[in-house]
Amino acid sequence: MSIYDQKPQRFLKRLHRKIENPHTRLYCAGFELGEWRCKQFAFHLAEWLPDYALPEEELRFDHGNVLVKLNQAAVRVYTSTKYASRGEAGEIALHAICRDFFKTIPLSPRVFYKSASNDVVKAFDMVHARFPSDGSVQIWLGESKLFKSGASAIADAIKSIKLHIDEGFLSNQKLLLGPQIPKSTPRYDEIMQLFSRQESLDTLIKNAVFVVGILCDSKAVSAAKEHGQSYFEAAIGELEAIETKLSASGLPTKLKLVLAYIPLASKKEFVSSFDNRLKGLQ
Amino acid sequence: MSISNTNWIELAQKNEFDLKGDVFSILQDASNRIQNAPADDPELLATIPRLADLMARRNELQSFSEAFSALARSVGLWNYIDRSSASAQDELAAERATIPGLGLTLHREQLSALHTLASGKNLILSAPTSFGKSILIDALLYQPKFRRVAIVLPTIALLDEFRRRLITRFGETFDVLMHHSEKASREKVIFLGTQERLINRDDLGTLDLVVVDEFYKLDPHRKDDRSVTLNAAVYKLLSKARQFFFLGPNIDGVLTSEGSRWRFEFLRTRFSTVAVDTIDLKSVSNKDVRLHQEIKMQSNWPALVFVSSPDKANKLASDIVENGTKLGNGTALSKWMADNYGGKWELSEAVAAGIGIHHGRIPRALASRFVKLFNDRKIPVLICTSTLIEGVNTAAKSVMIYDKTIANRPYDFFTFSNIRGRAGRLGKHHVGQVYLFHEPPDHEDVEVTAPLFGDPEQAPDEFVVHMDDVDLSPVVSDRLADMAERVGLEPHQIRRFSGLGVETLVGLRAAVGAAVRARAAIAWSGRPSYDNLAATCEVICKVTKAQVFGCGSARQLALYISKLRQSATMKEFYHWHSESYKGLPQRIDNVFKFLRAAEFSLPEYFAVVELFAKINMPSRTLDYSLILAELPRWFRDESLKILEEQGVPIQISERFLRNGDTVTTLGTRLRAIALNEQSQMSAMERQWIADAIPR
Repeated sequence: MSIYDQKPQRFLKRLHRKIENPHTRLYCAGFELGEWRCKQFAFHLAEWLPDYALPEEELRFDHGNVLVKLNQAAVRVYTSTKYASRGEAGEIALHAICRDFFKTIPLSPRVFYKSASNDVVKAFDMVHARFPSDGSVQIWLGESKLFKSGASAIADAIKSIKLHIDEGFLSNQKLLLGPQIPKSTPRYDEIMQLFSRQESLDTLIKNAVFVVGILCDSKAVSAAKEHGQSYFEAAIGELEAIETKLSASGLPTKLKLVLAYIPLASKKEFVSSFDNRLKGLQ
Repeated sequence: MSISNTNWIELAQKNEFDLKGDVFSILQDASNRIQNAPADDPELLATIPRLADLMARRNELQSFSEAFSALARSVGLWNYIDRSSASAQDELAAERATIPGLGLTLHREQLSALHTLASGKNLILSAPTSFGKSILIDALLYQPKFRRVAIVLPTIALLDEFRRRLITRFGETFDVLMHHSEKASREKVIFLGTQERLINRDDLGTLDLVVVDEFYKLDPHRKDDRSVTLNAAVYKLLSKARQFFFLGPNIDGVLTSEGSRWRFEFLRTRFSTVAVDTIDLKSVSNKDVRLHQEIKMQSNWPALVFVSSPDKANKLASDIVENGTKLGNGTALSKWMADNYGGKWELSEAVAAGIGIHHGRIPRALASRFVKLFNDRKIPVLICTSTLIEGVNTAAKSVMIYDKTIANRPYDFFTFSNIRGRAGRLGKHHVGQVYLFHEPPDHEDVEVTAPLFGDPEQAPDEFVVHMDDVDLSPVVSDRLADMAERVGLEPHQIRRFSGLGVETLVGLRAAVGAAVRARAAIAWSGRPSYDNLAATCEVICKVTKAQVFGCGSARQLALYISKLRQSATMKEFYHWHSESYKGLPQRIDNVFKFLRAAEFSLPEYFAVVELFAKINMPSRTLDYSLILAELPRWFRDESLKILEEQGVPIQISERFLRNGDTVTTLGTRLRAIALNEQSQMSAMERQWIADAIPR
């Protein structure tokens, strides 16, 4: 069994219409005793922390008692006075969805590009690989937005992707920076080919899937007590509204896009549950 | 632009736009290399300290900070991750590699080594000077399973450095023992010692871990006359140990014989935390002039100048003084040296000009003071021999390799690598400089062959005598029997004095026999007369030249011992020596060679002469024990000698010694006086004592 197969147990539930757009999904944390499972979701994301933060090679060292466990490190990072939440909860949620529902494997590089002024701009935090049944190799590039308002979140996501694609990523030079991808990685040669400097950006774009994760306050969630029909209709309605905005941006005609909508009862409570969870990990 | 063809010096001068463009290309090339190059590719790794250096100097590179941290994380130099600008993942990676007690972030290869050790395996680690090897020892001591630990170090200077660090970090939980007189009172204990000290300890018990620093010294081919004793000491320690960890620089392999009792993992890495620029000066016609120019350049400071021998070091120092070069202000220390060692020592003039000298003949407390002042950037240039390279930690930005020999033999690639490795220091000088005045030796693989891991039948006699019976083959047992007959001593006696060498023992046996026949005055007890001393020294110098003990003849050796005994203070002894000295000015420091011999080798010789004399003259009363006890401590109070090893010059401590003092009472008093501005110490002395006795 590959190390990539070791994942936390599935927690989120995928909701979709019978005839769905395969690239647009809603992932819900669900309800318990009439309440949206805010804390439980935060706990679940903490379980993904090692998979999110450390590549395979670094995970090797997670045994024995040489070092503090990653969890303890996280406590120290998140309880330090200078720490300010950077939306990691959103990034981890998107990471978990790609790994769990789309069977991607993490490659862990970050994508940067050179701006017109020769400065370095970060484009994508999440870089995964996926091997669809048609035999191709896809590079999944993630952009997650954790906002109070869904409309602002998708607007910001569209703006970021456009900026990265039009101004930097395509017109200037790219930089994929990350630890050595282990030779044992499935389809190693093809992945390396896509990453190589000689390979044209067109090829990379053709093989790239841009994953947009939207986490925001949801009226549907706050009004509901369980996964009933009325919740389903309202939540899918929110997803469709976001999807409409994404379509209107024109991006879907140029790029392969996946939209993952994760509705929250309250962004504020969710972030504080996540922070508390990390601070409480020992 | 690629990493290989980057001219970093030119790059640092470019305009903002080009600088950023080039650095971006370097990042691209680096990210490409990460995927294809070996994990310890030196050129790729060196990119990190070079970029750190560049970013510290060019503020315009701010936007590169997160990508820089991603690169540092990717190559495994987690200690370079900039926490304030790194992504959350990179910050987590750095935090996870941080050992809280040390407040230090490890890099990937350090962690890999620790991992091997934590899993219970023996490890021999070969890594560059700037790898950060010593810190691994500290990291291990945080592991609860290591409760009784022995650490073998080659020099007293290193012992003291370790003692300070370990007491600061582990003083609450461990007893740190360095002297025979110290005994453990707690369950957790660290035995620190040179091979000579550890081999004679009888309180080691079972050890959880044995650490051997600079393990290449086990190889007898490296012309180190202490290597056999090291092998014997390590053999003894390993026989009592559950696990071992050897560390050293730039070794390509360790050869073991098939039946070797010990198994280990060998980890050889080129992983380094600093980058080095090499400046080739071998075609410069006037090397003297060029050296004098370079040492004056502040951009090279702190700079080590490597020369081949103590004489060359002294000569170079006086040349610099004659040229009128003044690099710093060492007047106070220089005046102190003239007052306390006598006025003839030219070194004091060099010190006045801000130049330090470090070689085997410099008194220990003074040498450690030079290193401290050098590391604190108060002395900008330190002229040194291989003594410094092999046993003291320094923070130099530049290393100037001025000579191409060590004691008239060309230095080999291994030594060259170790000298070169002294340039640059993590956290202080990301990029070091090496000035080559000569063609460097060709690259060659260095393999260590240690009798310890070899076939006992091939091992030297001095090692074999220490082996347990179970490890001995019939052939070796026969050899031991023959040897015992030649030497004429019991096996335990041969073992005890094996450090002198079996041939020396055989020689002393004959010399004592001849002396007895000639009715020489070697049968004495208690306090020997001058004639007794002279007769005994004659015997010793028949076998080993007086020069080895820093003297011109056996008579002079006896005189030195006698004067040392008569002098009420060390200051008095030094003044007597300085005033009566008539030899070459550069050799006046041979008196320190004598004092070193008095500490260890001379008493060993005296003890062997005593043994043979007793065998030859069983009816005579013969007892050298008084001199055997007093010579190693220069006929002074033990506490003065122990403090001297900690960097306190005896000329200061002896002024404040009271009856009944212990190291603790004297040390505490000295420190109190040093902290009091109204005290009977000069400002320079107060600072010296405060640095040497930090608590």
